[in-house]
Amino acid sequence: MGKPLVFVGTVGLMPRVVHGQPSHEKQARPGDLIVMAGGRVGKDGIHGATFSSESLHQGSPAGAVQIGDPITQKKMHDVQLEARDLGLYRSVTDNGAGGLSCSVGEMARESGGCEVELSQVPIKYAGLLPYEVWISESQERMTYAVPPANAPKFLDLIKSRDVEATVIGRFTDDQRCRVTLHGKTIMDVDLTFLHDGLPQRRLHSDFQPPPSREPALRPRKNYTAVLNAVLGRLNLCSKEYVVRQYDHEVLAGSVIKPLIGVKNDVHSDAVVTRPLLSSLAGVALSHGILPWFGDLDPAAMAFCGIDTAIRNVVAVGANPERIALLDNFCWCSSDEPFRLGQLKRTAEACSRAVLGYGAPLISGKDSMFNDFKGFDASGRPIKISVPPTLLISSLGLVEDVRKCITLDAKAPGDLVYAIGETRDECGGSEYYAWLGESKGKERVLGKNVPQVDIPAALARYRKVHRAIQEEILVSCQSLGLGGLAVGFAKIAMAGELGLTVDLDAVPASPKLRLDKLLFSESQSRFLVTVAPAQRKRFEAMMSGEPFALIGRVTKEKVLILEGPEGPVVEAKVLELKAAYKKTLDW
Amino acid sequence: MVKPRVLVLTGYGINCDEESEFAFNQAGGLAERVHINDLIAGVKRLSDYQILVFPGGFSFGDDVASGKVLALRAKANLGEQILRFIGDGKLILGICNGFQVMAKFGLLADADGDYRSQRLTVTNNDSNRYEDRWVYLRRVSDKCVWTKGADRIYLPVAHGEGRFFAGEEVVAAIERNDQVGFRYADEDFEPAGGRYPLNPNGSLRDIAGICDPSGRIYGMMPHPERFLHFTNHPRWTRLKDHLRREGKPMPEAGDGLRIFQNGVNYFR
Repeated sequence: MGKPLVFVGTVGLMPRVVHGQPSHEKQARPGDLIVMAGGRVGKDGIHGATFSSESLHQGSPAGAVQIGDPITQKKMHDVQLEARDLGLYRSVTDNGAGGLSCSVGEMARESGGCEVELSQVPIKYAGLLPYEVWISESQERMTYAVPPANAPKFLDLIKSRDVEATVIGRFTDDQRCRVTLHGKTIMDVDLTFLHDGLPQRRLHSDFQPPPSREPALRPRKNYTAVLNAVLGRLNLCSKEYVVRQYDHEVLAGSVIKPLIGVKNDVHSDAVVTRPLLSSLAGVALSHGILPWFGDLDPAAMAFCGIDTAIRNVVAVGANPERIALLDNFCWCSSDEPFRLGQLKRTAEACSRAVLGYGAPLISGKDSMFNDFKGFDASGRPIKISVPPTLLISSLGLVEDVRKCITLDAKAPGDLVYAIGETRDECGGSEYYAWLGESKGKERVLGKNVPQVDIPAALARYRKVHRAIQEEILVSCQSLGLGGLAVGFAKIAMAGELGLTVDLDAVPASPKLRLDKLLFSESQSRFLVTVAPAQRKRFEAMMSGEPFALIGRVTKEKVLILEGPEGPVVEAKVLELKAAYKKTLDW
Repeated sequence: MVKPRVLVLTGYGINCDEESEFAFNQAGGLAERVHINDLIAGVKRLSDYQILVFPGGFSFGDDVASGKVLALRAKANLGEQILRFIGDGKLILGICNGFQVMAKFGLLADADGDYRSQRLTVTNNDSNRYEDRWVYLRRVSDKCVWTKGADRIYLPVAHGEGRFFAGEEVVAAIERNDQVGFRYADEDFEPAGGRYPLNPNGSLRDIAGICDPSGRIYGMMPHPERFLHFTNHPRWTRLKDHLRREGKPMPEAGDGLRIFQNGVNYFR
């Protein structure tokens, strides 16, 4: 048991302008009251942020974990929107890491100082030390800067919604952060020192690429069994069991759901939501997370993660010119030079990639010590660390949700095209991981991790986007884990139709042996289907791209992948689907 | 003509109020979200509206049992007003958590017209977990105002406590009085016969929605407000492609809109 990580993302929506003011601007002024609203402060979440950023060990405090209360959260959220629309407060910050010390401390910068009387802060129970009240991360709390003239109305409104709100101090402009308890000063710190007083820590990093080599591969005559096995791997298999347990349709804006196809049971590349029901605009969400690539080269993890996150939203119809990204670094042992070297290399690659794609990183998160220190069964000390992991989330704008598309094959006779080149890039792939596991010995990572040509990828994404906008594509899939083989399987499974593909026609460089062609995870590739009537328009639109007509959709529910000496995969689509589902079919 | 005014209840964890408001406005009503505390405090008056909606959500955190606490709060503070509202011949719709609230309030009355006693419930799914999935529904009741014309409809459910349950006599009475709004069905709209996941929660007799004896007061587990646009359909990209090959345009509205139009048109 190590330190488990769960990645969670949220997207908020706000009006650009409220009461004639840009709604993202906030400005606490001297004299504004400091109001804390929502839940009460308890001993839960003391040093919560510190806890989540250090390794888990025997002495880790149980109280560091915050106790959530969704109903308080929802009540507070509702009333905050009411207060916002009435223009009752000038600034707001949530009480996350560091609790009041951070929320009030941050807002104090806007006005130039603050005074807080801790005895006014509502607490869950007696017995909290003053510093605990100041830093507790108890949840569902917001801190507001409320002009005194608005205070009665603001407090009444919040009270009328059964939410607690309390004036705990006021913002000042004397450049001090002052905290008192029953009038007695317990903290009085210069604001500049509070924010910028921490001396820059110097760390040493050192990156050496780990030794790697390509595995010796035994050619097979048939890869049907391999495809079935790869489809059932945890990273690729159906997570319908989990997805169904989350409300993915609340607010009624769902356009492309997490599960698509004839039976609503194959994962889509991205989801699309229409956040305003009165508008046709949509937001596409997806992600790229490839820690296995990072084990070979952290820069490849970043380039491929960003390319994947972008490609996935482009595949459902997002405009490649209007994509924003988030970076989430979950690292381990970030005091060791090698880990820091990996971190630096990842960050540098992120910088180059986002500039290349013109897709800004607008938010993110890091957690640097995902290590567990404990003892194994025989009492020996043990350290378990997560692999350095970069998660890139993508958020792409869709101008008209009615043009979104899905990856499922839709009609027999449609043409199947591969767009983008398949290369000898199985390093860190699902195929190699399966090879290693099936032999049961050493992990097979390989060497040739996928590389990204950003200008070429971006040009391709623009063309694919245009084809989607002009409604030339019937289906579009971003190729990712498991490569072409899994891509074909998903198109067929989702449409419950067959495909017959000539593997020889797939654009590849150099000419690849069949297993590499099938399972390489080369980036920036798509599989699309096109109605025969659109063939000319499509091919003209793709001119200049490495693309080829490689097969057809068939009525028989059989996936046939032809090699030079006959079929190398011949699988019933429903059997593939069974393999895809059985791993997590609870 | 004057648009009927629709009161969409909010507060305490209700979270389908915005789309329910949109749905009624889209259907030609004049909808307004009103916090239950504003009704209790008299800031807003129920008598000013023609339709009352209990939307979906997780009111009071689903504590005790879904819908139970909100039902008690409504009954204790607004009980008389709601009974008068019913007596005035007005309409009530409850969706998902709103249906749970209505069931626990007792609003889904039997033939005797008692709107205060709980005789049926919606409780934990047979699967024992929350599930979001689309279901096929077949209209049953001829008297239900809300389901008119929606003979066959495909809608999402999203709940952990959606299993309709009641004693045999109550179920028999509900069926005898033509109070079953929709039943869960298969793709051909034949009865689900309790088969999971067609009947997603194990509801008795595949019952997905129930109205009162007048047909005006109606609650259902599936979410019609989540199918207001054609693009909400889980397979709309396929349907669009097939229509396109036949040279037909893609519809804009989703089938769920019908339910809301039925409510609004009742007052035309």
